[in-house]
Amino acid sequence: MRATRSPRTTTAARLALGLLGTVGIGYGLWELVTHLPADQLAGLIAWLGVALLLHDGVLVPLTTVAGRGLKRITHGLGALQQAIIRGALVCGCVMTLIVAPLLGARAVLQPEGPASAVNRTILQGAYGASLLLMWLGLALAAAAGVAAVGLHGRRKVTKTRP
Amino acid sequence: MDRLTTKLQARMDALGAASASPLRGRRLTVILGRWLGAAFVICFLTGLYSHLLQQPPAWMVLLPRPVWLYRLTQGVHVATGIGSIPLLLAKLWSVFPELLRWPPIRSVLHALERASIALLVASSLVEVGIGLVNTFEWYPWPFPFKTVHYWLAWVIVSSLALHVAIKLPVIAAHWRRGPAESADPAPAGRPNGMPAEPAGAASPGWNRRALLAAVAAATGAAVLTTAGQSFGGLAGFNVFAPRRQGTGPQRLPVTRTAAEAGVATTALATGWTLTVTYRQRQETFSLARLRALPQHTSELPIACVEGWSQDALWRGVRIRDLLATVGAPADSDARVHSLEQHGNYAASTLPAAYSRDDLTLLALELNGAPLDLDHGYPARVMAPGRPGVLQTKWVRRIEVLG
Repeated sequence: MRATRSPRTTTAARLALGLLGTVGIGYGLWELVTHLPADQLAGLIAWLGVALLLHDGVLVPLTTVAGRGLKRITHGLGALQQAIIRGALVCGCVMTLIVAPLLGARAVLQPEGPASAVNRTILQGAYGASLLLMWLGLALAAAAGVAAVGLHGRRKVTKTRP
Repeated sequence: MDRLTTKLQARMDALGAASASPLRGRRLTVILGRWLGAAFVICFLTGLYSHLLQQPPAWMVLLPRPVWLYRLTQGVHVATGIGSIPLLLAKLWSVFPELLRWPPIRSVLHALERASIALLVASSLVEVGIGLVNTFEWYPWPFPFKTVHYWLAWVIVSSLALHVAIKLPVIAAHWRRGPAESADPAPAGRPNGMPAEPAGAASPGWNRRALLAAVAAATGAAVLTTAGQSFGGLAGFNVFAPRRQGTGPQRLPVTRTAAEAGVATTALATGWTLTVTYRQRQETFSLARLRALPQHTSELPIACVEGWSQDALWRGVRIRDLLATVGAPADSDARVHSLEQHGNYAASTLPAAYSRDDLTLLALELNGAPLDLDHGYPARVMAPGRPGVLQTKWVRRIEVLG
């Protein structure tokens, strides 16, 4: 990694790593192909394809659109204030993405509520309410941060005036 | 044809410009790549350990001590898996314009590289996704979880190794802060909106540092709000994990209930007996006879492959004492059969490393009371440092091998 290493060592390391990686990919794929019957393999390939499509075709473009919209909405705010809002949104959206399957699992596995579960020790939390609370906390924290930056900025401006 | 190519290129350039962000840059990608790489490697190694424990090869050294080892490795496995979700999304976002690069394929080698990246990205997304959902005991996919999760992991670490080998000069050039473009191997066709060192990196407000802080905060939040299912110290923050410590019968969660296993009637039958066999010898124990044998107490964690774990106090007969009743050597492998007839939980092999261990019990009590039906009444195996799936419940027969 260091620049002091000779180019030859680096090339050898890259070749070895690349070769190891290629062999490993072949090994993993071969085992998948031999372990799974055709219909399951087709299912896996479909899942891999849909994952790529959803990520590259929906999720990332959505972040771009959201980012632009946000820029317009937060137009009048300072750079730091905009950063606070964006940071809070990144945290909130990522957490929502992680909690969404939890809510999905509960809706599918326990359609009549947690109390109806065969196993009363799984998926029993108040996940929806917790998620709302988390968003509320984020909104409050972001609002406080934006306000604090605004006040601080104004005080600085007042101080510099004669 | 040329016009079409030009048109397509213009389209892709416009698309790239539309999704451009001054935050994107190689330095950002290298930092996120380091974080994600570390998380993936830890996740892979701990997952490999769990996999090997469940099907130990002959060369494997089994470690009954420290008793919390598996609890730690599997807790870390699930926590790093969940933590890698924000990291993966951020890393992929940082290189998104690469997807729109035009022309899409420059040579056979370039095509192969892109194919390997597509494989790495798709496998990583599916791997962390099904890993997370598996902890909810929900299987909405048309393939077996364990097989796919295990072999995809090999595909991922291997494509990661290949990816690092290909990108090493770029990684080295941007390992430390500051522009270093001399080692850039692909100066031609600068990707859309992918400056090496974006102007926005040092500007105030929403800059690279702020984005990294947000990603770190999201990762921390994801881990903090779920890892409490495995680590007692974080139990107070556990709001988004499927399991909660200290809940369930006898204040301990259950992975598989007696009803799910279909043993609710047989386990409660009055005529239940345990049979221990070794070659031609056989001993039969009623519950009363088992209770009359010397009782021992072990404080052992139950640590599930799905990540949740908890310490508990188990009391019962040492397995080595049971083996002695049929004249079997203390360091014998044993096969433990459950009342449950089919599936992964129906039987488990107890290698000698565990059967001879003083802490390994045929447990009859949990936390000071007879086992709850869902915890394996009348008797279950508890050995130190093993995945919960191997701590067979509702035991009916112990067969000493060899």
